[in-house]
Amino acid sequence: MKKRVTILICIVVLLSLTIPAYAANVHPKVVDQADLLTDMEVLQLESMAQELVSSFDMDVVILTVRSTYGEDISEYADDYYRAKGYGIGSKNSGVILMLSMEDRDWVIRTFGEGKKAMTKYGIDKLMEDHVLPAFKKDNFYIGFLSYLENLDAYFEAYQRGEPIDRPINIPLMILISVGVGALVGVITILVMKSGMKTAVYQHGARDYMIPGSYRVLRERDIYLYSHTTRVRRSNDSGGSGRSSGGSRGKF
Amino acid sequence: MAKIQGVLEYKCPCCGAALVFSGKEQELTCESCGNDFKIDDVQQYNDAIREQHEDSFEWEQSQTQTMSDEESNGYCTYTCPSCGGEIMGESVTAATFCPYCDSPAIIGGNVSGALRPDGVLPFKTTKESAMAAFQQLCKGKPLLPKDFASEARQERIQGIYVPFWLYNCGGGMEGQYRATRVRTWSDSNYHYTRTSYFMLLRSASADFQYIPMDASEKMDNATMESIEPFHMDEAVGFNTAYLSGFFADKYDVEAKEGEGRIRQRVGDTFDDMLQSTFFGYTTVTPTNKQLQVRHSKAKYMLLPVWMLHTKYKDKTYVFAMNGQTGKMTGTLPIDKGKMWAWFGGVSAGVAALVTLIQFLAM
Repeated sequence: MKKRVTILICIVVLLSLTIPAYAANVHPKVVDQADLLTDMEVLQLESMAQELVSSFDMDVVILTVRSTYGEDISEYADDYYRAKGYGIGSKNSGVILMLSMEDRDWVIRTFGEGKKAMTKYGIDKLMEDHVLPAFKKDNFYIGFLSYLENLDAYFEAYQRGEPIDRPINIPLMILISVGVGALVGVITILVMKSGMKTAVYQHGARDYMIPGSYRVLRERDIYLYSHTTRVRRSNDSGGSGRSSGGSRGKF
Repeated sequence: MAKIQGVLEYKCPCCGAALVFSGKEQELTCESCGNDFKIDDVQQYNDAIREQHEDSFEWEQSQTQTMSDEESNGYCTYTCPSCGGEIMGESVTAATFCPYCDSPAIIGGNVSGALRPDGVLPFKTTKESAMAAFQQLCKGKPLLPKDFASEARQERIQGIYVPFWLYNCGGGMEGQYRATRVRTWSDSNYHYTRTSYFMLLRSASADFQYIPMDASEKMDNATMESIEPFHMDEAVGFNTAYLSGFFADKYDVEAKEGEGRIRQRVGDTFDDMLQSTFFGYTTVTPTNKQLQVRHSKAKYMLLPVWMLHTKYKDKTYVFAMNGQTGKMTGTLPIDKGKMWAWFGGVSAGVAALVTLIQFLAM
């Protein structure tokens, strides 16, 4: 009898151990190709991420790589998210946080509803305040933990209808309104005033030119030299115009 | 010693009243009996009369000697042939009205001999049309004080033949310019800017005729230029008859004094015309320009202008209308209160709109 119970317990334990692995294989939320985390840490983060996914209908993905092999990290993250079929719902809503260890770049890309829940301002604030300090010291597990915990708060705020975003700067708004108003007012007045004074000198004597007497005697355009300058492009840091949003930086 | 000047006037052969030149009919009109007369006809009539009366109203000598002070300031006296009253006028006056009997009086000496104009552009518009043009000018001006148009004494509009110099000239301009052409393009890593430099050579010539410049010291040059253009194809040979019923002055500014302004206008015209020869350049800057203007002798003509001097709140405002084309210009007073009201209204409105837009964009 005791032997049977022991075997049963072993089977149950073994089975329960495979379940997270099974879930991880089908749709792993935490992919640590750069080996920054232990297996236990990956499992822990994975289950936290899964909880977020089911609570908020928002996919949550963490990806680390050693190098992007020349590809731009934003594009890499976008491609990964889409290729692996992440995203919940018709808009493929979700957020992916990706780290590339080669240049120590991080990027967060947002999709669907994720764009509204995580504004650039919100993302930068989250990373600056809660995540980057840990990454800078190579405390990756702590960083990711903090990330997922805060994601909870962000998603919740979004659900409430108050996504975390730049606070309204009232003085600046007033300044802009008054400034533009005054400018348009001045222009209007100047135009009106100019209509009041019509006794002005004529320009030129076109009216008195004898028709047919105008002749262009010489017309030569001589090319001298050229020079070219160039300015490096700053790559896309907000995904504007594309169907994803986000932010990036270094750690 | 006071000046001796002959004073002419044109009398109606029918009733003897004074004849005035009518812009509408282009003939001399009698305001009393309403008859119109061709200028030639009246001229012949007058000549015939003069033959009969040797001691005619041509030579009336003023006797007052106390006028010598005024004379040195540019004034003279004349005697009105109609009523015998003394007309005090500026030395430049060529046509005026007797202040006592209101007869038109033409001081022939100021428009004869060396002072005879090469031609005259007769009035084509009437005083009524000038008054209407003034009212039109006052319309649609949001900053105009409410009572200005009604208080302006527009019946005081005067028809004046203003002396002008008309310049015929040939002009040529040579210019060198520095031009740039800027092209920008991008690839995945960089934004490129390529600036190419060019030297442009241009040379053009043209002829001009009848560029006007007012020859009267007291007439504001900007005002006289602003009512241009005058179409000289409607000008006629000079005849004092045209002046009857209007004011006129002889010139007191020499032709030479206007040459600088004429040169500037010709130069500006070449600048404008050459603009159209620059294709596809981002910037064009002149580095050297040479202008040559060859004048022929300037013509002296009297051109028709309706003038109104009106006072409003102790300031004088001047309006002028081209007596041929009807174009009217001037300086209107600005009601400060209305100005601030408009500024405030527009600013507030726009500020509210911008605030709304900012809220919606959040």
